[in-house]
Amino acid sequence: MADGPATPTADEATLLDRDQLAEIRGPEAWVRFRNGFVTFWASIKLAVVLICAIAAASTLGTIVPQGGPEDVLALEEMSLRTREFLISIQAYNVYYSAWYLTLLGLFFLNLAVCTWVRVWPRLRFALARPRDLPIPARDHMPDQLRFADTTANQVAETLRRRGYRVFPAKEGFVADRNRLFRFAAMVVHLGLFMILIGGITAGLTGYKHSFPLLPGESMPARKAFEDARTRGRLTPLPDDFRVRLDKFWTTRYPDGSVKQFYSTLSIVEDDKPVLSRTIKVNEPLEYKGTTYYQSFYGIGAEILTVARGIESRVVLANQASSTKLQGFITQRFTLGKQQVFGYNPGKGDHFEILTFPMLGYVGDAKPGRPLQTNGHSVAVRRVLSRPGVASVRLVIGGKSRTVPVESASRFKMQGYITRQLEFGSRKVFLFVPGPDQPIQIVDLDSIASLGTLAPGAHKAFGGVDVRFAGTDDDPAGGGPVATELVIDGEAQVLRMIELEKTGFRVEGAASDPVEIGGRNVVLMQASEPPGSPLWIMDAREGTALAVMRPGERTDIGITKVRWDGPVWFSGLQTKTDPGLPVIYAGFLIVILGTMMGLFNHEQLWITAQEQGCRVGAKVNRGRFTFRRHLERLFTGQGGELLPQSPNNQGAAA
Amino acid sequence: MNGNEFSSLDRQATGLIDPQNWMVILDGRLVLATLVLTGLATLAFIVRWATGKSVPGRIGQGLMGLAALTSLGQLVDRYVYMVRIDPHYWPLSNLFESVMFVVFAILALHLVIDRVYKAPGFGLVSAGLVTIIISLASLLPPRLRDASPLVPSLQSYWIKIHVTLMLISYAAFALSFVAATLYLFFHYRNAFAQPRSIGAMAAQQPNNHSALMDLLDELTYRLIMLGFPILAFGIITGGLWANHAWGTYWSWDPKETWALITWLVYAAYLHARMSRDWQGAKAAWFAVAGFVSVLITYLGVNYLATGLHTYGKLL
Repeated sequence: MADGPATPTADEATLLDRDQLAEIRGPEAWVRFRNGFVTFWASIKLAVVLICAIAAASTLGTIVPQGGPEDVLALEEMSLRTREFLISIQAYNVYYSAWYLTLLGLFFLNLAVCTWVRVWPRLRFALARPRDLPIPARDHMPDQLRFADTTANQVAETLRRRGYRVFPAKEGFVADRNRLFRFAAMVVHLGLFMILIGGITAGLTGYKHSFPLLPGESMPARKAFEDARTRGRLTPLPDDFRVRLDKFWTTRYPDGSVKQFYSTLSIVEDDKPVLSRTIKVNEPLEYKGTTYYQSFYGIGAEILTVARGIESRVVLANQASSTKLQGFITQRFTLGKQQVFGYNPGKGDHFEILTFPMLGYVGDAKPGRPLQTNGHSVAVRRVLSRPGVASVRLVIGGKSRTVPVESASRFKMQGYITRQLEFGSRKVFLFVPGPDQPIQIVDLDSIASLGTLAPGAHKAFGGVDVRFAGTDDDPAGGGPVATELVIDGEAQVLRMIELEKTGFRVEGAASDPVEIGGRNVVLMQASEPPGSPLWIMDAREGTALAVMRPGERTDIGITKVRWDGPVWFSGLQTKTDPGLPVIYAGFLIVILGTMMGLFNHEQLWITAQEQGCRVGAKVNRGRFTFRRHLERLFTGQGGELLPQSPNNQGAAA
Repeated sequence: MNGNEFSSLDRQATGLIDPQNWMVILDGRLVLATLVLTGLATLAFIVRWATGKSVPGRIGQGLMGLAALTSLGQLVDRYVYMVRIDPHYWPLSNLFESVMFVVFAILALHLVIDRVYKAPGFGLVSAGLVTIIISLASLLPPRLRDASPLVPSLQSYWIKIHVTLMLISYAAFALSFVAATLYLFFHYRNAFAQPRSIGAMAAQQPNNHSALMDLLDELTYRLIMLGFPILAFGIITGGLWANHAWGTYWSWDPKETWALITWLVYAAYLHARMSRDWQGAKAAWFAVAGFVSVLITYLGVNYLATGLHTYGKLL
């Protein structure tokens, strides 16, 4: 890697070594092919090209967010075409994409061949007795000194004192220093190979999983193994033990910021705790080849349900982002007066048509089975799918249009709301998705839409007559800033705030859908403000079935539900990685090899003359400093460094 | 990655640092002193350049040496003050502190190199570069400038090894960039000057000039050869740390990816140099490209600002 062209001719010669080639039996075409193959793959120019290509390809993953196709789709500053292109080349997962791995494969092939053909001549050279090595012709000695009076013996003695190995040779001496450092590049290459092998081993025989635990809960090693996000094909089943969280706590700086967080873990084998230790970030626990890391933490919830005398626990401890919708959504379109969009859960070709923004279920539409509702029809013509991206052709009220489908994880409630109002006994707020839209009256407790009002229209809500006069839009284009209502004949102007700027966000934790009382529900708790109530939402309708405060009880169907309040959970990461020792050894060898590059191989040939002597010298890199070193070494002995001749600057590296 | 949760925790360190404390005051004074000293050194080198006398050059070197001491003093002062608040503290935990360390490393390394190579213009460009770096660093908002205790993931002895090594390698690459820039300066000045005065140039100092070019070429090369293993060491210790903290030695986080890209660019440079076509100006341009990659790794990635290394986030 870091070696000069000291013996390029010798190296090239081995590639074409006739004796070696003659050893191979077979048609000459094969020999020529083999020779061509080696010459091509051993080329350093190819290495430079491949290294630059890998470097360039690696930049892609630092620009495009790594994750899934939906993350690329979310890059709205790019055209859809660019995004589709990026998805088609798997730019969301560059480092594991086939083409990137191919590039790495080519690089390692190049590295292998290149190292192989160079290591043997170099080993022969290093192991040979110096006096057996041919003394190069004077023209091939880049730097030369002339000594008028000092004898060859005296020069040899100086060199010996300075730590050179000096050997007698024909008409004088041969000396050198740091011979083994010529292997710097080879050592680095070897280290890179070990890292590759270790990485492949890890990929085949390791697993990695992260999971939350509430105090008292435990996770069997085998369950973590089964649930693992990444698991190699040859990963052995771990021993049967469990890790239990006994306690979780955080420490804080005086200013309130988190200093460190800790989990006390117990390893439980055959229902007996065998080991107990407290871990923290930077201090994992290892047991039988499995390591547990303190990885994250958060607020979770645990509800107790009792149905038909059977008690069970439902745990909410996911780090969900703004939504639990997974899959794909279409762009919004209007159906009559209602804003709707299509939602596909990521498989199948049907689309649920949901109202925006309240996720009210309108109906299903799939190719061949249009949805009929209120005189409108939504037909899915065709789902044009690619990995992760699709567009859907919809027929809405007789007109057909193609709606691009985007990832659902982009879906966020966006729009503007007012402060809370009272319509009779109901607490409500108003919601507008954007300028020139009808206003939605939303029940504060259930977050369910009570109805919409177009500008100028009026309706009765809970015995209160409400007329919507209109919204004032921000002249700067920031959306509605105020809305005017006439409630029972009394005009009110209400300020509107962007939804994202309020605490009202479905951002926080959400459980996976679970069945409680015969309904599919999701538990949700907003992360802000602290102490937010727990919502039990109907997973399908998106409406609240119950809103609970700590200590409260409620019934869902025949099931009794109790919530005792939020609890901290500890996020652990577990993994096994049998490739690690090889990787670490590779790391060590790479460091060693690159450091070896700091030392240069210096060779000197001392030839006795009738009067005085001549010294030829050569260094594999750093010729300028070497010449200065020679000057300093020999000026006391009357050595005269000859000027660099233009013909032999070859070794200037 | 999981690191996000730690690093995005809001660090309101204002309550922890007493602005009236003499050590905190000294911290600011030492930064200022370093800036003034490097600025004066730059001036001295300009005088040396203009007059051709060696005395201002020696004064410049002396000022650079003093600046190395004041910048080291600033780091020590900050460490001694902060370690009482946070026993894990290491004075390389935000952008400003890391810049001041790079400044110290450049100054110290420069003094060593100048003893060996005595490359003309090297002092001037180095001093100028350092002056600019400190000036820019002083403009950073207090949030990035003031010391604050470490977030949980940074509380490890690995910070002392990993970050220090990375920054030393940046310093070596910065100086290789200085040498490569000088090479290109002389190369193109020579190339442009030649048609006008072929005879004069050839008669004047052909050997000297080529010796100067060889010197700068080799200086660039050796500084890269110095930075290269340190960068490898830094990247690898980062991997060991990540494995220790999160159970993943490599996660393709933008910063670590860019560090790898930098390492690859320099690896390509070292390989390309083996070919005779890629010595001289081409190699110097390659070294400049390598330093651009260093800058992206060090500063640019923080603009993208996602991933594990968001501690020095600029925005």
